[in-house]
Amino acid sequence: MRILLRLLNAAILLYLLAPIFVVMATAFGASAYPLFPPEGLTLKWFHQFWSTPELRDALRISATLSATSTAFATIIGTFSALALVRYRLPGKTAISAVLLSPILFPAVVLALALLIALQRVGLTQTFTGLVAAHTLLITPFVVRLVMASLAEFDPSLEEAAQNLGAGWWRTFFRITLPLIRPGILAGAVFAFIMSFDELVVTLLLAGPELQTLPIRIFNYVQYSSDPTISAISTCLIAAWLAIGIPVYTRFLSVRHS
Amino acid sequence: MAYLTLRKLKKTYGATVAVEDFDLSVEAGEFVALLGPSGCGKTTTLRMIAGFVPPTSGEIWIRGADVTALPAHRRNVGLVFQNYALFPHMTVRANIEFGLNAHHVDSAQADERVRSVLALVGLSSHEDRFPRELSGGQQQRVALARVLALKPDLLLFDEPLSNLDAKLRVQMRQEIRRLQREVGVTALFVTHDQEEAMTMADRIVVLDRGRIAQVGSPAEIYDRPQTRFVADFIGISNFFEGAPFPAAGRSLFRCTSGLEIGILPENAPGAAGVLAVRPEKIEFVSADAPHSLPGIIRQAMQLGSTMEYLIELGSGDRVIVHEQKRPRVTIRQTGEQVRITWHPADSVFLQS
Repeated sequence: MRILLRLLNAAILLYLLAPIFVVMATAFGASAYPLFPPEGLTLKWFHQFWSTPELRDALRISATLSATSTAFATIIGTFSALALVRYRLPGKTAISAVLLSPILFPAVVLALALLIALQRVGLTQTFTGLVAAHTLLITPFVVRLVMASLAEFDPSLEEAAQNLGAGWWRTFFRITLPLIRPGILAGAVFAFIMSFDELVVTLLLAGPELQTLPIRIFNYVQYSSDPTISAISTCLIAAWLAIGIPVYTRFLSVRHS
Repeated sequence: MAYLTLRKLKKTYGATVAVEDFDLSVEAGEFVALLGPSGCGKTTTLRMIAGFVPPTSGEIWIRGADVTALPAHRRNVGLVFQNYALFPHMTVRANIEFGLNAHHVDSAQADERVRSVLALVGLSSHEDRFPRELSGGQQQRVALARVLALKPDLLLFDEPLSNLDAKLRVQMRQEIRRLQREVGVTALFVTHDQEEAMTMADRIVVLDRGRIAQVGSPAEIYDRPQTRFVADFIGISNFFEGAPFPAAGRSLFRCTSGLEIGILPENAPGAAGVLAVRPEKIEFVSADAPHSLPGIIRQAMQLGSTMEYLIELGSGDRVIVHEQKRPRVTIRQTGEQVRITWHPADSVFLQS
């Protein structure tokens, strides 16, 4: 029985991780199209990625867009979560539902809605428009994770701070913020990844000047089949692991006091 | 004017009245306990004084200043929380410094204050520990040191001992009282534990459903309860419901059960009410003693140094009697016929 379970576990892991390994392996293959197992060993596809100006521009645009959106989403999301958890707001459930709804809507519907909305204010094909759209898409993740860490936060700590003579600012920055920081950080990392990865909405709203990395990749694979995409993917996986693992182990793993 | 004055303090939540008609004066250096069952409004009152709950009406005066409208962080009132509320991400030292920084105490003086309060609570060697590395009793001391460092006008305790185990709780009672005396600070202590209130407080305020039932010293509260609630909540009381009636030149108390009691306190009025007698005030007497009541022992229980007897009187009334175990006092058995009596001054007549 135990052996069967182990085998099942292994099979599931293999199913989940195998494609990633295949992609990473093909990035190093010398053949002109992704081949598994790879033949020969080369770094030229990484070089190809760096030396293709559109791809490098796309990386820059994506990074700027995601960083800006994440900054907004983190601030808006944190204060929304604070308001939702702490205060007796009228229509709390409604506000919470609206804030979290972007997770629930199909991306295409949302993309169309945003296109129509941004057209009215003349922000389609602009960086500002994209930031607005992405912020809207990723804020729910910050709200969710901050709300989760606020649920564990003992409100009497804030009262104790006030009792000791601290006003609102001191209480917030010295007590509340440090204690919910794991939730905020996790939310920000998650939000950044969601934004960096976003294709559908961006495709509809971005003009020719604002081709993000996912759009470039999407276009690239339609016309060519060399392993440059595998190289980009490998870079992204490495980056996510480099950010994700420390954040996960430091802030998200179950801690025992 | 008293050091702390609460005037007609009232708090309502919608139609629910949490606290009403709360008038209290506390003198400087006094240790006053707010005692009552859960939901009696004692914590709400404390939170109004701390500034966390705005009163619906009424006034709070501390050292001659009206603080009713002052926000919590502007009142110089130290609160020790039930769960201590130590900042988990700060060391003991940083926890104490937090308030000093908020009050803009300069660093040399802050250092000195941290050192002196830590010495006061006996935790000088623990200043670099985090709260999670301390025992419950130590956390309690840090919470106390943290507010004492600010030299508060008033010290408030919100059931601070309820999270400690029984032995430590008794120890901390004395510890808190010692510190309070040493510093000379005026203190208000909320508790539902009557023993805690009796052993610690100079004065006890007994609360019943949002109103003050009685204010007095522990002895007054115990020996001279003014309402049935107080007599019932503090310690154990035997109650006889009925009314006095004049008979053959002297007063008798006739109970609704038909029992007639000839032992009446001097001030017994003519109206109907309740006669309350503490179990340890009742004694066993011989058959020829005047006004004694005959009964039969239904239950004899060991309470350690005391025996508790449950006695059924001829009228069906049940009476609890406590008798100290002493040399030459024999322990009575279930089923034994006895006669009981008490001194008239040891019973209290309560208006029902």
